[in-house]
Amino acid sequence: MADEDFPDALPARYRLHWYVVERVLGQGGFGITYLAHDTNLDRRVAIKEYLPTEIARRRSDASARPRTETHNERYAWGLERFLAEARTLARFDHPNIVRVLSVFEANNTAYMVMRFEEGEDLATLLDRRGTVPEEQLIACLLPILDGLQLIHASGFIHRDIKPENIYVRQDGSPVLLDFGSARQSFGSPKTMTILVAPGYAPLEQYYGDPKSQGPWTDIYGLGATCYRAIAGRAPLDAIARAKGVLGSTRDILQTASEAGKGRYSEPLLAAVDHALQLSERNRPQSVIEWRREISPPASAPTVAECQGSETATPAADSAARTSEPRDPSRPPRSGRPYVWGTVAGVLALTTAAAYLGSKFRGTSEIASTSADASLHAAPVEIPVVTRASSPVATPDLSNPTLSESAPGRSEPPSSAAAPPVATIVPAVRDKAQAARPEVLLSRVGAERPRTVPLAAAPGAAKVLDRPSSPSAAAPSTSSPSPSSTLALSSPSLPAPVASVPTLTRRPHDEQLEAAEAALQRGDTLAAVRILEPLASEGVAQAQAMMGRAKEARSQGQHSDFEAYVWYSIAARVGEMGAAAARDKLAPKLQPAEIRQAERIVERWKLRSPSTASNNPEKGSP
Amino acid sequence: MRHSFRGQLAMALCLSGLLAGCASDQEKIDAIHALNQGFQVEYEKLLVEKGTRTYAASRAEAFVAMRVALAQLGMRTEQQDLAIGHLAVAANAPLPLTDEEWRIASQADLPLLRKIISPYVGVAANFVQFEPAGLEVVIHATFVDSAKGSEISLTVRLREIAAARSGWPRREYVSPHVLTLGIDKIFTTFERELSAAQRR
Repeated sequence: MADEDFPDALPARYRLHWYVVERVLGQGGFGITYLAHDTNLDRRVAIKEYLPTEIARRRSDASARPRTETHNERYAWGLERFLAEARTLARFDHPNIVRVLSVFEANNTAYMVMRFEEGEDLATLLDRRGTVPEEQLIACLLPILDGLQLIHASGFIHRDIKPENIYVRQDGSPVLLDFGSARQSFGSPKTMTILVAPGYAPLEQYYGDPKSQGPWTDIYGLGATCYRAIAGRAPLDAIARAKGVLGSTRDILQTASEAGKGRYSEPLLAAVDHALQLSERNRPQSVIEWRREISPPASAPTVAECQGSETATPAADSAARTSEPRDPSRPPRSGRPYVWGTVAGVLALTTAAAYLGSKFRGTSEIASTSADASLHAAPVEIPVVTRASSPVATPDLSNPTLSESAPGRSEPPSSAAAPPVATIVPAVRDKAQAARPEVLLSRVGAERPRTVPLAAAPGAAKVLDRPSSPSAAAPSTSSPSPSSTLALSSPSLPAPVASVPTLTRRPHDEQLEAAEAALQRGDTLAAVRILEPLASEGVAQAQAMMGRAKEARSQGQHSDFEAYVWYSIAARVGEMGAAAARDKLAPKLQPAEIRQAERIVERWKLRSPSTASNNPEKGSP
Repeated sequence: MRHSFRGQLAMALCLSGLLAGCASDQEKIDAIHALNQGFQVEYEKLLVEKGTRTYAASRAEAFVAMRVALAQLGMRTEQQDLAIGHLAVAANAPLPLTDEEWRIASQADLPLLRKIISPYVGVAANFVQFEPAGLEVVIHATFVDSAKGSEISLTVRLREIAAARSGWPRREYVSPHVLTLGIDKIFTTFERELSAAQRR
């Protein structure tokens, strides 16, 4: 029998392949998460089932079905997103990112198998304790930053960072959860539902414009999470802050520096305030940049401190922290000046909100009620219009000239209409760069087809595949589709390859291309000669290619071991495809050999490049 | 002499002529599977106890000394990469043991072997022997830096020389006493070589 509290859930002891359901862990609008037992490996796993109860229901044969035929398309699209997200997540092998072990389809829906983590989410912990001392906060934050850096380096952003999505394991180490399967996939045919967490979502997420989102979006969420841990409450919602700016020319949010004065170190408080800047341009632009503000290199605490003691005193902790000189290359922090820069942008935003209000009565209270929104625990839903193409007027909070023209527009800025591409979206800022094929080629792992560089990001590829579908041809007429992002792009801008990771061409790209050519012609020795110094220096793509070269050389010899090692090293830094290649090799190795390889990988990061590359004895005899 | 010794023995390990005559193919396949699994359990336990040692030597020193030691034991180097700290060597079984060492160690493992396969092949289990013919021994040595110097880890696997028969599993795990003896012999030779190198 199904759990009485979760009538749509699969019953206990229900078998999904070799997984046996034990109980429901939780249910959200988009699915149900179960605790299950992996009978093959005799371990517990968490299984997330795609079951958007708004549009689908469980039938007596346990299968999930859209409630009506009109829901078919949206159900299918959400299912596709769910699968894409699972496959994307499966690429990341990081201790502070939820580990996806498998994904499969059954019962006319899909299941994402994840490592089961025991502990509690940070929101629960904060509800119980109010605030956490600085050292414990830092101990939670830094590992999450590590994981986030990996995600960003792989061209994705999380977009839903909040205490509920940070899980603190029993050993105190944190793990970043919920990459938002199938979010944005529902709503009436002419609306797109954006889910944002009040207080934790930056202003640009309300626009729904993926082009304005990037690592700085996640940094806002993390900054807001820190604020919650410091002040004992979530920051005011970004919309409410924007209204405050409009009405009083000053931010109505009490700064972290004020809220945490005397209890936390000034550098940390300043870093949190920096992360919470309303305008994305005034925030740290990368995790690395923000980390420098937060953490002096020598004082990183261990993850075991993350959970900390319930009775720890915040004041005592802050005294131990030291300040680090600010990076002179970084623009000076703006402090309050963003307020003025934001005013004009808010005018545009207000116009957009007013437009939405007139268009969708009853659901347009974003502007009028959002001042209280931060009090809500649940995300708000903001319907916005999906439209055909229109000129782009992306609100630029730092550019009064641009935003002053916005109030005069009869329609909302297209950025307000553009649906978010995906919950995990590539972190793209420079569209021109993103569109450069050579940049894409340089990024794409060697195992990915060079003629289809977008395969570097399957989620992205799906988005870009959409224009060929009928719905993409008429984005305004059917259910929300990621392709509408393309349709809404400005003709005056370069093609918005919004889902493609952006990287500049690096100095070693030529070497990588030469190595790839050597691999293609079967000259693995030449490839190894080119790749080895790069791999030793930590170039992830070269490490993954070393794996390929070793695997290709195997031919009965035991290069599989070395291939496994190189794939693992590359996978640690998120090189796409490396984890999958490693996992494919794993069955060829003994468990003891895998332990040997893992030990090498574990120690690898502790070695200096010069040591690693000093290798006079190399290759087969 | 080693080859003539091998020539007198039938095919690899336990699946000798007697077994072949007394059990069906499926029973033999099941027996090999069981043997791999049974030996794997012992193998993993032994490696945890004996497979890793730490020496007060740099990784490069340990690497070179191990390569020399394994060469002294008759193993040929198949792969080596000091950058990642990996050395793979191989040789026809019973190397790195001598024939006599192999015979003694194998005898000690016969009761376990027979216990594992008897449910599948019945009485034929009493007639099987460990045979090194047709097998290679492959050893992976890995080297990582540690606080006390270098940590060296060994793994050992069997590799059948003959082409695989379709649907038949391959022997992969050495028997426990053979493993113990082999690891001890390698580390002893290594320690001797390392000491000599450090004296030089």
